[in-house]
Amino acid sequence: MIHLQNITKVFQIPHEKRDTLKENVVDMFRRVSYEPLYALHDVSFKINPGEFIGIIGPNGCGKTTLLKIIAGILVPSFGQVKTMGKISPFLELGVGFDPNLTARENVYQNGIILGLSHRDISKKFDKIIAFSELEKFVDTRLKDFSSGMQVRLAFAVAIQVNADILLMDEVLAVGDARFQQKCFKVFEDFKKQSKTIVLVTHDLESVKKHCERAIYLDNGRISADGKPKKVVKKYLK
Amino acid sequence: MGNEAGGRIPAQHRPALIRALNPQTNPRIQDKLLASGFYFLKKASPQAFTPKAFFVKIFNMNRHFFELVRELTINEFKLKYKNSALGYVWSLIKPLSLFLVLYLVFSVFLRIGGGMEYYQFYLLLGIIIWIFFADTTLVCMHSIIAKAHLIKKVNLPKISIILSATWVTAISFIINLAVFFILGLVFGLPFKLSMLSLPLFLAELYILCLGFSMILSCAYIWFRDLDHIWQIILQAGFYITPVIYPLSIIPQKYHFFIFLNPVAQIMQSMRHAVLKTEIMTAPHIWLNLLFVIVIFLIGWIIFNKKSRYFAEYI
Repeated sequence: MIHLQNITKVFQIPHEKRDTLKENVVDMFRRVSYEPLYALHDVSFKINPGEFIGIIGPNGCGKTTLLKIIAGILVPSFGQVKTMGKISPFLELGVGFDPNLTARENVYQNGIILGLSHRDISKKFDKIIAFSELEKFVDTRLKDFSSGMQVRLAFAVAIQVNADILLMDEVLAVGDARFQQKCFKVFEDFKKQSKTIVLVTHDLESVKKHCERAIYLDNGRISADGKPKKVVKKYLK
Repeated sequence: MGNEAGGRIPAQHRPALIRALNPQTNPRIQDKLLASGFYFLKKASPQAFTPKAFFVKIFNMNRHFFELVRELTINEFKLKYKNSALGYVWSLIKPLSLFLVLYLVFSVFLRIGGGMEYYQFYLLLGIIIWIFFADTTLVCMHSIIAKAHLIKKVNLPKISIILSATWVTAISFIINLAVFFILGLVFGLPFKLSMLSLPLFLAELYILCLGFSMILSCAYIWFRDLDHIWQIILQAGFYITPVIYPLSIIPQKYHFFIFLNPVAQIMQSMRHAVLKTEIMTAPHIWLNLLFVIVIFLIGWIIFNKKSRYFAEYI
């Protein structure tokens, strides 16, 4: 369950960059002028357990900021976030992957960062490698992998995470058609286990096809919330 | 809750109707409340308190945190020496080569430590401790920025990054200390009972480094000049702290100022514990411990306050 109450996020965009000592000393008595940027403006909604929800909107409308606030990475300027259940944020596949470590080491590091325990990963290790079809390359360094192989490995780890709420940010944009099919099959499985999925995407067709509900964010405000077909229609208008 | 508050009837002995209405005894009401957002009503079931159960519980609650720190530390340590032929032997060569240079200059040419018994051990121990302090604070200061890709994408406990960075240098430090004692065995450093107090000072040193690291890593995010400033401070600190010279060559009246430096205090205490001969101990060990704890607490408070905003500013 996710409950957002009047979430507002303001970023202060400074008109000048002042990081160093010299700049600070020289301009000590001149105040830096900031311009407030409202990434999110009074956003409230509730997501029930087991919902598969798509968030759409143009670039820079606050979708990623919203996900980061739900995940607890960013702190809202005003408002409250209440979440129940374990959250797994996939703002990017393969967080913590290091090109100089082997596939095995990366699986452990990535898995632990995503919230798995060491024992869990050991148990599921063969499954992860089998899913990513990389049996021959377990002890190869990641920098020798193709980008497709890396994404496969990252996705294989990500779906092992035992979370109640999954936050996905454009995760599907990277893979080929076969990979995307695989992703949606996994999502359908998650849905059956009544996990909550929040998907941020520009792929309107998949929102219409898979999501039960869609939210259209425009300039940091909720412009439409409801059945995906209606919301997408409004977005395209 | 009920059975902890004195004078109240324990929940399980209350009449059935009250139990049915009480969310803490009726799981069905509990579920409904949980579903409607009153999640804070959920209380852990009271258990018998034993020290063992307490520690097991703490460990289990933080198991993931420990594993995270361990994994980050091991991988960081592997990466540090991955592409070099000699591997982590380099973490030994660095202090030993510095020791050789300084020993030649100050003992053979300048004869500062000439009159002192075990000067070479005095010097080596000082170098090892100083390198640990300097490395830890510098590495930790950069560690948050270096792990920006993690902090921006996952909600990690930020302190785990600092802890793993301190442990990477601590591993080198422990290896260095082991080599120090092997050399001590080979070159006839006598065993003293006071050596057993070493772990206490090591813990003190670690807490001091951790405190500094938390302060520096927070400050560095908003003030990038700190990198250069801290390097200058460390450079000066190497000479202000009695790493090279025995304290006896400095007039007594200045000792107070030297011992204001917490690293000097710990260094002298450790040397006293290991070597014992004509080495001045730190006069205010308890005061120093207090100072270390204050630094640690300041760091802890700043870090807890500021780490929430790391993702925004890096």
